[in-house]
Amino acid sequence: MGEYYIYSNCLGVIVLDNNFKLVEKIDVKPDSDFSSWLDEEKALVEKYKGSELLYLGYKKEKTSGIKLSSDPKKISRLIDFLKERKDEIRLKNLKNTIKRVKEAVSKDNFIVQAINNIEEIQKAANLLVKRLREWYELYLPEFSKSIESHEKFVDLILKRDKEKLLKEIELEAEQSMGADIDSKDMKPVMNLADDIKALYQLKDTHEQYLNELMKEFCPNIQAVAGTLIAAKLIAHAGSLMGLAKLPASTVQLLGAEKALFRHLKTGSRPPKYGIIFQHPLITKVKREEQGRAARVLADKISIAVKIDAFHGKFMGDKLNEELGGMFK
Amino acid sequence: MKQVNPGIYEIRRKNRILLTKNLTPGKTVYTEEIVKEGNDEYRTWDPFKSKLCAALLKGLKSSYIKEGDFVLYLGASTGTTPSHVSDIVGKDGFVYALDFAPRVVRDLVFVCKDRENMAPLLADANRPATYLGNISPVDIVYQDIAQRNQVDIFIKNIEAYLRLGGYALLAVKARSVDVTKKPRQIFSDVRRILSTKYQILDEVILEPFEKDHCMFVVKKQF
Repeated sequence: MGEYYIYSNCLGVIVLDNNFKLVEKIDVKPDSDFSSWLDEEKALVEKYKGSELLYLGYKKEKTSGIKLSSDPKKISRLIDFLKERKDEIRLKNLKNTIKRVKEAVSKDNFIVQAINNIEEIQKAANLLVKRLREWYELYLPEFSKSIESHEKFVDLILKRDKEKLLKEIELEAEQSMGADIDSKDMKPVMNLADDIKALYQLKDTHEQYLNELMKEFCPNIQAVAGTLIAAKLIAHAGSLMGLAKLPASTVQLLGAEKALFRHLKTGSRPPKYGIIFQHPLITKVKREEQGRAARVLADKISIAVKIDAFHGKFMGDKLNEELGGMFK
Repeated sequence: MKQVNPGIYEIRRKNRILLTKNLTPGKTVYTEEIVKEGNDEYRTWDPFKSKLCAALLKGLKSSYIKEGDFVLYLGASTGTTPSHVSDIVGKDGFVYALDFAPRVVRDLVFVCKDRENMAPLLADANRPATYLGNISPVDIVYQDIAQRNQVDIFIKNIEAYLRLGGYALLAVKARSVDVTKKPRQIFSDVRRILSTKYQILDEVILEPFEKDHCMFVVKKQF
């Protein structure tokens, strides 16, 4: 007979007498569902039959033989009881959380890191190449002006000397504005070009890696949106599952938040597309069709990412066909 | 240095600066400054990084958190404010620091490893039943979560974990509730919802430290 209190958490199922002295403690798995009645708790209800039993805390349903209580005096004393065991609670939680953080790492994280890194390399390379051109133009301005692609420019100045480059742009040496510069003074310029080239190569390697990673992890969205756009969308949403949970209308505007909120606040014209603007489908169609193309593309991307997130079959080619058929 | 609230101290330089007594002397958590007085070491508290500090400077009547309290901290992030709460409750108190994003919990774990009265928790505050086994009833619930349904989350957690008579603090970010509405409108909505369930003890706007934020303090009555 008498009154007993039961409370369970990661410490175990705890039975206390009405002086809050520990009567017994039964270990349970820390990842049990504590909102339902555990088998251990049911066994205790059976064992203490005939006594007044109170469960101190929350359960989602009632069960016979034990009452739920949130009596503030009892809860305060329960807190006092647990305060003496806080070191144990802390260690269990630390262990549990460390395990869960570890398990939370997935392929999504690799995609996000890789695409962010690719964008950063791109930015860094652009910054450096601007300086390189500025510097190199003291030496041979006409060649630098004649070639638009940064990557090609870096490649060519490393491969060929001044004479050959002049020939390529069909210019006599006397007609050039470029100064005669000692090889000693050109060396740092060329060193810079070397490193920029290495940066471009690094970017290519990462793109290849991303390509393969996505082929394996999310082939559908890759097929519909293309590797880079798909990766940017995933990075923006935070994870593949996060992107899959977004409606197509949101996918359409990811990356256009500034314009969207300006629209919502001031009533200015709404944006038509965000990250997906870089997709060839949108860049190719006529201007007045772009809004429609963005909407359709976002729909297909949204279908594709849902297939990937829930491990469906590959049907990216079918989605692409449907897309291509709509804009001809 | 004078004590202005339990566990909270103040010095005056150009502005008022709040400090808490460092539970882990020699170690800092973020970019805070250490001030020594006698044998004790204090950490300055940055109101631009911590909404609780901002609220205190803006005239919160009390900090409501006292030594020895058990605190459930929702939206712990990398542990900036939780570390000060951990200073305030001291070695007899305890802070359950919860966040949903693995990335920030990774940093939080490092803070918790140093502090013997803090436990990290990777869980979704939207679903209190999922971490029943990890925590216990508490004396204080503190919430700083930028979610649309932040008030809903607050009430769910108070109902599940706060003991009767305990205090709960909520930092409302109006911009995450609805960008199109006026912040004042949102704050008054929040006030109305909270007052149907609890007694509202305090309410301060956090300008200029945080834009469009408001701190509410409620008491869960017997």
